[in-house]
Amino acid sequence: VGVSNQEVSSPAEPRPAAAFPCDGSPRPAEVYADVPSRLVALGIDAVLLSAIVLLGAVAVSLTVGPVVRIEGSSVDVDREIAVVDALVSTILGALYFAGTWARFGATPGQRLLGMRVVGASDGGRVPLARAVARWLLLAAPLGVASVLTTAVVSGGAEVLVDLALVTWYLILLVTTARSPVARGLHDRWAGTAVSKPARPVEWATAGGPGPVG
Amino acid sequence: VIADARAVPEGAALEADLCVIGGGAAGITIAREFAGSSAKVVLLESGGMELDGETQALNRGANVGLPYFPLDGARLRAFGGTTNHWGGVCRPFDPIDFERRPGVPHTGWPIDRATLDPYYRRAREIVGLKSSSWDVADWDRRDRFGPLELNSRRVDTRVAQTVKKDDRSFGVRYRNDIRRAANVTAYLYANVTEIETDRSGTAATRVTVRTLAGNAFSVSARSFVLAAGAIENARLLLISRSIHERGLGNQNDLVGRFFLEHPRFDGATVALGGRRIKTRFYEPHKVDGTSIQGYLAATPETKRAESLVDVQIKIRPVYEEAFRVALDSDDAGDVRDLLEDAEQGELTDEFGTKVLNVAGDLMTWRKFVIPGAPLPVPYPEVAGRAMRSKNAAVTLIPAVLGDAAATLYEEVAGSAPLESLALTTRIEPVPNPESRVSLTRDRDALGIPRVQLDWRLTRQDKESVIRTLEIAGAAIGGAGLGRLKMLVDDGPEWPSDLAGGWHHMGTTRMSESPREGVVDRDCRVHGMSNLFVAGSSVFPTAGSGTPTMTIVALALRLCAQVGQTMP
Repeated sequence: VGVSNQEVSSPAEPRPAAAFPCDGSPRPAEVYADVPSRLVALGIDAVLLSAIVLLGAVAVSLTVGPVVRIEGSSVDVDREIAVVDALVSTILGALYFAGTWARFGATPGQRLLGMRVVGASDGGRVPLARAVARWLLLAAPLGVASVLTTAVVSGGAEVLVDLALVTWYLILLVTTARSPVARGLHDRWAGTAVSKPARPVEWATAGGPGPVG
Repeated sequence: VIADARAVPEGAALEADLCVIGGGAAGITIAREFAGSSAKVVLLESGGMELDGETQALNRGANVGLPYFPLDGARLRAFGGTTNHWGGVCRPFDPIDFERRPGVPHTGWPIDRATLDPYYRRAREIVGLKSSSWDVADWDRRDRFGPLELNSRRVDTRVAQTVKKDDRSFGVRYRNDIRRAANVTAYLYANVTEIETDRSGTAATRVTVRTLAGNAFSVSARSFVLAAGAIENARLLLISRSIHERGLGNQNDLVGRFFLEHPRFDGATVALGGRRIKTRFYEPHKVDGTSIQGYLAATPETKRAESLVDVQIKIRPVYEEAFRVALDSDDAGDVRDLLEDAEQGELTDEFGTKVLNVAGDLMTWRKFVIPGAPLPVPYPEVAGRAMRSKNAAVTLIPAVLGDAAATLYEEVAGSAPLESLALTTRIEPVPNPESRVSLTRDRDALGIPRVQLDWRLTRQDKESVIRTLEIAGAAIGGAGLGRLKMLVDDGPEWPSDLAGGWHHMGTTRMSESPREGVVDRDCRVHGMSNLFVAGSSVFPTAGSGTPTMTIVALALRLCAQVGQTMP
């Protein structure tokens, strides 16, 4: 088994081919997951995590109190409880991403598409510290921004926070898309990569994203 | 040609074939008709191209009857006349409006609707309407918002069209036509202070013109058309007393009498039943690029059978408070402006500011989603309320999605959660000789007696309102839409919100006999050979439509009569 790397000549990327033989058991050939597949997986995760966050908010409302009071057509938000919601959402996000990467090697969305988050150098399951680092770079900014816009800033500053958030995600997207092994800044800094099973050769040679091995 | 009367030499004696007094809808229509002909036309307009306070003050007068607008606010002295503040609503009169109705005194025109039909066709184009359809069924086919299904033979829906805002002023729309017409000279700031006649008093010979700058001159002509509005037409005839002591055309004391308006007030409300009602058809809205508005009215058969005057019932939805507030907001105004811009393919003032305001308001929802969720998930309380029912979800729109979203929803859905319906009634009042314009001893800056308006309505007017509302209420109830609550009682007092529509009519009414009116079927002053009257002052009845199209149609017809006196 092996995941080969087209980037052997690239000095910017470590050569992960040797690492991808994985952690013992034989695996089908793997390639670096392409950006569209990763976005689909992210979409699935976004739906699942949103549902979990909603359950979290229900729990907050039941334990702390209703965050929104509706009387007729008048709707008011309790800002303090909203901050609790923001913190709970952030924690749930950390468990969802960092926890599943470290424990199962993939989020549910990635697993559905056969992807794995692996160590860039060894192709193995990432340790918790790397998983947390990847979460800090990938998902935590959303939580931080939500806490900021809920509790700290408003008006024009809120727009600046939004702009910063959008800019950050654009940077991650562009660096991932431009990387031949689809490793954006978050993967490079966390020392991770995302793999998926290699596609049939005939499909790949027909002009698909192509196997890296 | 457009000239300034203030530059005409003192004492000058101008000559023309046709002298038109007044540059409003009627006067401009007539002048345009003669543009390019061999007739030399002089049009005398009291105002300038823009309104000015000093000229407008000449319109001041007293109200001694029912409460009415200040007389210098209800009509305008400027090129284009009162079309400069026209609402643009148009509908030709129905055939019944021209009939003599036995149960309604002083009704019946000397002409019928068919006589005006060819002129209405042209009038529609002149006022700036594209569609020739007044048929509810036709609009219903093309409109995604249909009329209420009342299944009543006694009440039905009618449709009025509205001219685009920028096309309403005849002064703006047609000034270049007048400017380019070599045989037409429109004198601005030219106030007619008397119409002089020959010794027999049967032919007008010239008019005296004065300006507020102090110069005076005269205009002689073969024919004269008085087109200064229903109050000023009467005033000018009444002040022209050189030969006839009581004024021109006033041998039977009819000039100024039968003053008509279209009185309106909130006549009823409708407490709604459970059925969801869409009322957009009854509010101004666009269909195929034309702005239309429906309203309810008794059918002609019902009016004939019950001796009712025409009562138009406008339906105004009263939305729940949150929507009312949202739709009244600045953001809602910006949304409507932007939608109109998009439709017309042009940008209005402050386009960028409006876009930013609307964009900001459209982000209101962010306050109501769980922070930190990767997708915009509403808070459980909001989600729970929204899932309870469609109505509950819609009720949340103004608060959760913002004013702009509420406006967009109302625009697209054609409705919003309703509290009730307000029914505004507008009456075609019974022609009443006691409702009149007359002269006072007070004089204006030119030394001309000012007028007083004694506006009156009759008991039959109120009875018609009540009866028509009863009929409409039965139809609305019968259709299961709701229950009508009458706001007007049968006592002698009129509701405190009684107002007019700036529609002045009837003061030189058309009649076969001089004993019943001031002008004949050709709009010529009874007993005079060359003095004609144009405008709504010749209307014997106020009609079921709005006046402007009929003013223009009659002006076009008048041109045929006046043309016979031209070289």
